[in-house]
Amino acid sequence: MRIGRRVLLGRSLQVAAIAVAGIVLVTVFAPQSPTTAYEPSGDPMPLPNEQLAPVDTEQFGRILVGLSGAPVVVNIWASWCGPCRAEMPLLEQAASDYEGRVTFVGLASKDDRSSALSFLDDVGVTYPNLFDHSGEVRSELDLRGFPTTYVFDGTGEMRDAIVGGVSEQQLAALLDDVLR
Amino acid sequence: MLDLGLIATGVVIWAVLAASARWAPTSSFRRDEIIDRLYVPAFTGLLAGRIVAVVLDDPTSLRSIRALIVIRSGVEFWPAVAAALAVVAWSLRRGRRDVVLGLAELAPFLLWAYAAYEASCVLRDGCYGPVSAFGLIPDGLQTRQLPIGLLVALAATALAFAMRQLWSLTPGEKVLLAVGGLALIRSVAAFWLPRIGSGLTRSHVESLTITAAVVVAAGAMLLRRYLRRRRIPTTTWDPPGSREPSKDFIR
Repeated sequence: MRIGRRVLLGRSLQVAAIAVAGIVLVTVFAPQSPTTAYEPSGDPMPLPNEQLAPVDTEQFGRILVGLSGAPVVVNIWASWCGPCRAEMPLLEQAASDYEGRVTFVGLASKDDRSSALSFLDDVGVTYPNLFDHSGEVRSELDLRGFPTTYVFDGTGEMRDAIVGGVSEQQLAALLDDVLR
Repeated sequence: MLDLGLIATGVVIWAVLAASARWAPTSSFRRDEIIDRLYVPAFTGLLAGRIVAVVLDDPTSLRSIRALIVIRSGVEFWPAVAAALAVVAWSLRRGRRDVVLGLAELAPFLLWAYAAYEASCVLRDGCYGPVSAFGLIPDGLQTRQLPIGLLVALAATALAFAMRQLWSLTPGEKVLLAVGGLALIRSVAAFWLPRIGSGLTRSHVESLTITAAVVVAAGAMLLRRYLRRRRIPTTTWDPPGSREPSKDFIR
């Protein structure tokens, strides 16, 4: 029994050490949430018909203004990003289920356009996607990591930004909340 | 990219397991042995659940390790549980221990670990549920929601404590109670959790199916026990010559 207690004490110390190391790692390396201060502006512009049409900051803002009136979900991704691929089927399903109530727009960034096009084809994404060719849109949105999903309400105000993969519960809760 | 919420959840689960192993001794396992028995099955279950989720949702992602390791994109719960229990059973058998008894004694710890996972929703995305006057407001939302994750954690904790108090149950019945109780808790909770689409989620259908299967199995067990009792002869003593001895005694 005495040996068992000693082992247990040793294990408790291990747990404490790992917990401290984990907290330090997380504090140093964890991505910070982007600010939700971005506000789209400019004259309304329709979404381009072409998949992965190149856009700059001004055009992107005008497209969002054009979409205001209903909530908009903007997902920033890249073809080389594993978590982006992992969440695509969920976003595609959500775009289909919330069709007519919420607009889904993908934005490929930090990527090669032809790779991004073949990625879309491979994953089977059907909602509209834009291409941030210069990288200025992701800077404007204060992107902290791939993928990031931004949720705008009907007035164009950014309600949340989720860095990393989004879960079904989280996405459904956000969309239901923004539709209320 | 580090997932802060998931790392914090792992630490909480580990701490809860260490504390429960310290304060809830078992007859078959040393206190320092319990975590050793559980962490390999837990990681195996996580991996199996993730692989099943990828196979069902996007099989082409199996080629990409980067996509495969994104735990938060989905883990199939019941395949993960089945894989974890299979590894526990295999390790018990390898150590020449009674598998069913071992599973019955470890089941409360698995339930506490699961409760810790659910309660850690406050550290991950948030605790979602139906809009309510009582509860929490998850990040990015403007409505207060009843934290279903916390209620599930309470129910799983209560189930684990109940399992340790029900001495009259056989180990097999305890394992059945743990699986059925967990399936019932998840079945009920899933009705109130937000989801994409109007139908039941895959995990919800699995929980309902397992609940129904356990109810049928428990019914069969009770019936068998009842029939067995009816066959047992009476043992009341009659004075000699008061009446004919029963045929059961003669047999």
